[in-house]
Amino acid sequence: MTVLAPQPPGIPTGTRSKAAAPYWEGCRRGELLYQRCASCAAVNMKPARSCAACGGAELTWAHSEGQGTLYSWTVVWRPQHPTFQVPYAPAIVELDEGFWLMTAIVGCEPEELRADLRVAVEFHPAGDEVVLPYFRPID
Amino acid sequence: MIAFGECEVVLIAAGGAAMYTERSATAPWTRPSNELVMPYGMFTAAEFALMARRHMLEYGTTADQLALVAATVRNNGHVNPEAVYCGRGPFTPRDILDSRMIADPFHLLECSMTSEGGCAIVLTTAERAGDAATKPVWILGGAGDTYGPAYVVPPVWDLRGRGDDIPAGYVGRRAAQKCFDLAGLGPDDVDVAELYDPFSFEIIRQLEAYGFCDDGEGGPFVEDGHIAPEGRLPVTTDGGTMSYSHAGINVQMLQRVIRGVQQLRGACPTMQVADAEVALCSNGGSGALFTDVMLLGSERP
Repeated sequence: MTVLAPQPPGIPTGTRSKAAAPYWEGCRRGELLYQRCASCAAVNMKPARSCAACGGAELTWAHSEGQGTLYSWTVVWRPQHPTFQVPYAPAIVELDEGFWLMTAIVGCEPEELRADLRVAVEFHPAGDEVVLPYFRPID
Repeated sequence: MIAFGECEVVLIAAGGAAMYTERSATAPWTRPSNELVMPYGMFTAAEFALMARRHMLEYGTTADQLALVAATVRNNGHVNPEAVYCGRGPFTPRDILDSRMIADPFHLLECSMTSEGGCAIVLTTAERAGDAATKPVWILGGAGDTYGPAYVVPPVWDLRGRGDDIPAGYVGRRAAQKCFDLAGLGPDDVDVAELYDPFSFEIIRQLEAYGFCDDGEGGPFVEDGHIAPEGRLPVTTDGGTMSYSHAGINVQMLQRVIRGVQQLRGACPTMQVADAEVALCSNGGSGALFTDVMLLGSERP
């Protein structure tokens, strides 16, 4: 039996952008945030200083309850980098607030993954600085 | 530059070698560095798999259909003496499915390989081309299409661009439509499709995106033999990035156009499509949220 698990600390995590700083601060205190445009209400999947949809300059951070459905996934057996433990399951979750998030699924076997599976966020450290949102199936 | 008279002849060249040295990781150009993507162990195979999965869920596209695509393209390379993987087949769909899993649904043989190499294209004016030593091939149309920064925005099939209803899964559809409009042609006029093949599924979604079949019919279209060597629409006839060459970054992005030129000149050593007059060439892909399309013709428009 293979249960999908969060990656151990030490994986490559890239460089933190200033635009996404509130997102990462939210993750560190266990809160999932998303950025919405005050003008057109679009959610920016890439945190930015102006809205990718309408160019509006007023973007606000909103609280997500952290629940949604599994939109798409893959199970990786050949890791991008040797620090990643296989298998792992990168996924796109559709949050109940109406936006998509890149993440990974943990806490179940790869065979249990299916479309529209209900999932909830949980947070795990990826190193000294970065805490990552993962999602786990819920009843 | 040529159209505005800034120059008469342009050489576009690309090459790659000694780039893939850290073999315990995937090739450097497949690994995104963005903070929202990198920590989830993403790389190109996983990005494209997220698109393929949605198509399989929505339209019932099967692993067997994906494997048939990979076998077809790899067999085109198997017989091509210029392919890096010449003689490495032939492959049946079963062989493809028996290779190890990389990023579900993609097995090893459904992914592009890595190699070294280089290639170049020369562009010039119609007048200058008239007395060239080799038979010129004509650009009938070209266009690009994108849905956002690649490997930053997640590859969501249903993502919509501003002001239209084409999902990101069909990125390139607008570009193909523009090419067909510029040329006054349609999908039925295309004799050979040099489709960019980073992963097996990309052929299926491009057949749909460019109008060679209806949405969701790419899998059955492939099963009906249309992309086979003797089929209605041979694809990626040199073996593509799966078998011919994939030297990283930019080299492979030129190769569909180069093969399209060879097809329209009747100069292919293998898999020459008889009397080919119109070739559709592409690069990019759904997982990267961009696709470029170029339509080439054997006759001056």
